[in-house]
Amino acid sequence: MSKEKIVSSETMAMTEAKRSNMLSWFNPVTINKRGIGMWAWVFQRLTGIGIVGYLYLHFVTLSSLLQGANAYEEHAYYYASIALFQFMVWGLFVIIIYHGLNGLRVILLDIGVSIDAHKILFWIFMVIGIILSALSAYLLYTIPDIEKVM
Amino acid sequence: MSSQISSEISTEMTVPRFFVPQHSSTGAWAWILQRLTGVLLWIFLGMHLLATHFGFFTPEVTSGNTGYTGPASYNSVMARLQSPMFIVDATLLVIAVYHGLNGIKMVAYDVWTGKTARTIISWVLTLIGLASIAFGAYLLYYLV
Repeated sequence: MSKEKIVSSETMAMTEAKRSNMLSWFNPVTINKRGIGMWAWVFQRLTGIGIVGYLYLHFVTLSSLLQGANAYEEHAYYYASIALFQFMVWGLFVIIIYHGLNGLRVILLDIGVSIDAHKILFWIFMVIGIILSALSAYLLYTIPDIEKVM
Repeated sequence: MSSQISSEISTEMTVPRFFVPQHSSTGAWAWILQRLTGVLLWIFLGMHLLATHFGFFTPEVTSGNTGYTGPASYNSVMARLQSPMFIVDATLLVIAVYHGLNGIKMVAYDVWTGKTARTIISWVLTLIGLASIAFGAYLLYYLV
């Protein structure tokens, strides 16, 4: 087995990122040459940044708990009345599921499991992710609006 | 010398590499803790989402301020914080802030590679993290 084959796409993506900046993730010259591992790595970072953004939004919305029961539930009902927010909660579920599953795949590769089969592993995890996303969509659809958003 | 070693490690993946921080430019402990908190987040965030959205691990609440008594209601949140679920929320605060800001640090370290810039990034993110955990701890302490 040649050595080049064993180098993970993540390692190559890291090297590429270290050479330049975040804009290189979308460089049209190199974008077509990338394997699925590099895309997985780019989306891992984008979803990670998005989830951290939500974490701080979560702190802001939860601070209404300090103003007491009425203020908190008024805020909750307000957010629950906006259909876009309800959809974005499902979007948040999807990106958390992707980030979590891809993170597990990265850990498996780091431990040394299935290093030759990382592409197969990626698609297996993505199938699991689609199932979990569909399940979360179904579950979110069945509960009251206020429980979707808070 | 050091680059020789790292290139050997990155091309020969024959040994278990869990304690080889080659995928991280942020240090071995940060690398290991990122993996550890990542696995823990599956458990704790899973429990948190099942509790807040779907009513798992939430004590039964009979009265509500606006008539609503589901898992997102104020009284349910309070009841949950007074149950063993408090441990989940408190742990989640620390590991989510750590995992999130360490992830931001990894991205920032790839964008700004200078030694001075990285020192500034590290300190700024550490202070943001400590302030976030302090705010969350205040929120939990005030409510419980």
